[in-house]
Amino acid sequence: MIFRTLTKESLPGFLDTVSGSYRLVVPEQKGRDTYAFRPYSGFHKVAMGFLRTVIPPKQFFFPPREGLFQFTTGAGIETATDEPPSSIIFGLHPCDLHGIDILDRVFSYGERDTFYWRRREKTGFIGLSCLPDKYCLCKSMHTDFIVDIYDLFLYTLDDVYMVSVRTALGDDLVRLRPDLFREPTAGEIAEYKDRIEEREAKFTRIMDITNLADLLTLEYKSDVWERFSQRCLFCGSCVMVCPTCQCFDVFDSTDPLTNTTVRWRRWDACMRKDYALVTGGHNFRGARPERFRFRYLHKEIGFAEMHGKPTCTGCGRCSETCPAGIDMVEVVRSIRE
Amino acid sequence: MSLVPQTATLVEKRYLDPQHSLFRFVFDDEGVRESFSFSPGQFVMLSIFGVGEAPISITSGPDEKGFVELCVRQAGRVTGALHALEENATVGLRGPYGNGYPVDVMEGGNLLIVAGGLGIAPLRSLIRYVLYRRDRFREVGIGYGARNPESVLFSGEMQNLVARTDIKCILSVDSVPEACRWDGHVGRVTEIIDRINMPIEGTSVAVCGPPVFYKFVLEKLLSLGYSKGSIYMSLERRMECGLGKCGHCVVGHKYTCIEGPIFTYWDAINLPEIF
Amino acid sequence: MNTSNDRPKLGLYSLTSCSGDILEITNLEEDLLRLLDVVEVVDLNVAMPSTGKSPDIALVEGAVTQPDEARFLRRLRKKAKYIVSIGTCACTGGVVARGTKKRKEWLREVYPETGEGFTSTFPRPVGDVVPVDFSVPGCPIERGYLMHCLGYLLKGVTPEVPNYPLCMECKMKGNECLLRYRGLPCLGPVTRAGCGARQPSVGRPCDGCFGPYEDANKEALVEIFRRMGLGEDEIRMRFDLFWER
Ligand SMILES: Cc1cc2nc3c(=O)[nH]c(=O)nc-3n(C[C@H](O)[C@H](O)[C@H](O)COP(=O)(O)OP(=O)(O)OC[C@H]3O[C@@H](n4cnc5c(N)ncnc54)[C@H](O)[C@@H]3O)c2cc1C
Ligand code: SF4
Ligand code: SF4
Ligand code: SF4
Ligand code: SF4
Ligand code: FES
Repeated sequence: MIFRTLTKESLPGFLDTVSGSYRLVVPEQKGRDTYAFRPYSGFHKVAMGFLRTVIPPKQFFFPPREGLFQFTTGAGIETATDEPPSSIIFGLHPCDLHGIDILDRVFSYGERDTFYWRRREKTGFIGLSCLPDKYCLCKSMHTDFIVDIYDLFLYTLDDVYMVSVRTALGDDLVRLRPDLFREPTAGEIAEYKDRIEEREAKFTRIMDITNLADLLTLEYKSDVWERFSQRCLFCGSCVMVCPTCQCFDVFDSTDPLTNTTVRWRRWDACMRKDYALVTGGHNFRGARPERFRFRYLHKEIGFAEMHGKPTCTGCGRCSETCPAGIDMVEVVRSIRE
Repeated sequence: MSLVPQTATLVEKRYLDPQHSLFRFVFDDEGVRESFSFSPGQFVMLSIFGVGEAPISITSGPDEKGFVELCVRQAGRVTGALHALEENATVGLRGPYGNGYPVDVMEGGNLLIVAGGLGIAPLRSLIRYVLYRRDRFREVGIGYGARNPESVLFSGEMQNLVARTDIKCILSVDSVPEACRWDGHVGRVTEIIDRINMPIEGTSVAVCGPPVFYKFVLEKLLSLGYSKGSIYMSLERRMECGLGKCGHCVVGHKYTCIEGPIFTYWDAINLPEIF
Repeated sequence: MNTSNDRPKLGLYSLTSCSGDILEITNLEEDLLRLLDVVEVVDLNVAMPSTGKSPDIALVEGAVTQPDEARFLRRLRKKAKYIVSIGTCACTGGVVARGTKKRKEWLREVYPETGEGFTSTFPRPVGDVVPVDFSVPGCPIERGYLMHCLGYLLKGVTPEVPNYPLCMECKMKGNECLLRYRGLPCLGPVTRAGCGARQPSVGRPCDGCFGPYEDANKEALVEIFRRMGLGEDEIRMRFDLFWER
């Protein structure tokens, strides 16, 4: 890993150049108060101050709805043969990079998921530092900084970005415009240190996850689940926006005009009533409190049992999005009480 | 590619009873046909194109090469459409998935197999595995329970097992309608476990059947003194991928499609939300 | 191409409605022409006389308001393999079934001379008159959704359709939540998905025309509406438009 600096005025020129060689994706304002990752269309559209997009970067490797193959009588099974373009996603904060790390593990566990990896393998990441808002829980989840996954990471200082060049791809990117990068000065290094502390001080909300897996297990029968499930709409929004929720459904759709069948996979949510329903009508998680609880168990324990860490990256999307105002911090606090 | 099946042709459809048939498939690709191998207790994802996919246990034996047999109950969309297919139809198969029975652990010891109804499907594969290498097992007992003589699946094959002297196989039905001939046991499956009378020490037990069946059989096995670690059961869960990705089959913290569907009773009761 | 004899026979029937759903089908234009290669249209009661042949698949739009219509449906049930109600009116009664209890009064007010003599009954969904094999809701229906269902029905299989609330579909599109960020009374959390979130995607709250999602937590949504400051009447009207019958 090496460090370089890039002046703020140089960033537009750098991104312009990157977008000439890669499909570049950047955060843009989409709604009145929300953001989305979109193809780069000039620096003026880039929302440098954004905190989180509605839909996390998982959409690029694991789209909401994806055709897996098509079947036609006669031709049999045909899969897509197009090569996904080499892409760079700009503007990923540590939480989202952690989210990608978790999905990488999920989609490599057991058999590698070719559909995920065909795009993932061709994507590089430029990280961007951030300052937390009231929904950010990365500090609590220990995902507030990251040392891998990214290719370049930009730490915002007053006049420059301190750029961490972690991979050969990152170096390739820098070498697209070597004129824009230079060695950091002692003053910039000092400023970088100050910024770390300033950021620390901005975390106003902390979710205590000490022994959380144990507490969730001990409070398996707690009435907390019942209480929250009365408020929860079971709308699935929290799952859709979560950078690490990976559940999907598989189904067929046949075009009656051509009799071509496409096998799709589509995002699914464990809060859904027939998620665990089997033939004969037995439902392993029919009751709402069980489904509400399961999401927490899966985020905090399920994945950890296999990979040694919880899957919540503290990105804050679920709490910000929830139409019922259900907040992860509040749920966890209720369990601790 | 993950999630993409291989096409296969339905070469034979054998009627078993009004709800169940045995389907024999041959992979269209010669390479796949030859390389496809599996262990008893594993399953495939069966595709009827335009309808969907369903997880189905492989019921043929792992030593029978060149084809795959599935015993399927007509239960909904995919299984219904399968039953409506005629010979020579094209389907999709992918797999094998799941852990299968730990045959390496079972070999060298005694084996008790207890099946209820359609639970015979994965166990038929295990039985075939055992018959192929009978000398590797010490005592082998098989108990199979069905509602009535009509609903005994694979009755011909099962009668042949009853006739064998190197295996103690007893069939049992809940009741016998008047016009029916039946020379097996009438009563509860748990009663034939007594009659098979296998040693407790050094015996692995493989159990598969509907939920109520499990309840009674497990109770019985525990009361006889079998260790929870030596009883293997097969769990049914909703499955969309078979690959540990879609999440649907998770029970507690385990993916039934990868870490299962065969669990020891001990592992199973240590999963929350098991039943 | 199929000869007319072995093509599945399709009948399109319009009961009391605005014909919006049949229009969605006739608006398929070139797709409609290609659909005609795949199916034989034996009936299209808004535009042509019946061919007299029995349909394999009968698509019925509109609510039942006339004794004639009920009689017609009973006869259709005997002939058709599948009866599919299309559009919200046929599925749940729709807009025409709003405020059914006050119907007699309204008739008197709107048609003071003849209102009393109208033979129309309270609007009922098709499924209240004859058993329906499948419902394709929406006001109007969504073409892609209908084609998806036809793909299954032509194979003789019950369609597999999204069984989740509209919010999931809305979120898959990355929309800014109207309920959460704009304080608009969106029915997305309690409404069946399938329309592609057509209203929220253009900034309008969902009116619930696809009908209730099977696990809808209506009480929780009502509570949110109350906290947003909606009055009880306003809340009732939100649900009364399409969602609740
Ligand atoms: C590891 C494993 C091995 C198996 N092995 C075998 C085997 O060897 N043989 C065999 O016959 N079966 C086997 N099964 C069961 C088999 O997978 C199911 O019967 C099959 O998936 C049913 O699929 P389907 O499309 O026909 O039914 P579906 O159309 O999916 O539905 C069947 C039933 O499921 C319920 N259901 C599903 N979705 C809904 C919904 N949205 N709302 C309400 N109810 C719903 C209903 O009760 C319905 O009747 C196995 C299952 C597993 C997990
Ligand atoms: S659970 Fe919530 S805070 Fe945690 S990663 Fe998912 S969306 Fe972000
Ligand atoms: S929380 Fe629920 S939807 Fe998300 S990955 Fe876990 S099981 Fe799937
Ligand atoms: S977003 Fe909120 S209301 Fe919707 S399912 Fe999640 S917790 Fe429940
Ligand atoms: S806008 Fe409506 S449909 Fe979309 S997420 Fe919000 S409540 Fe749900
Ligand atoms: S079936 Fe998809 S995770 Fe097990």
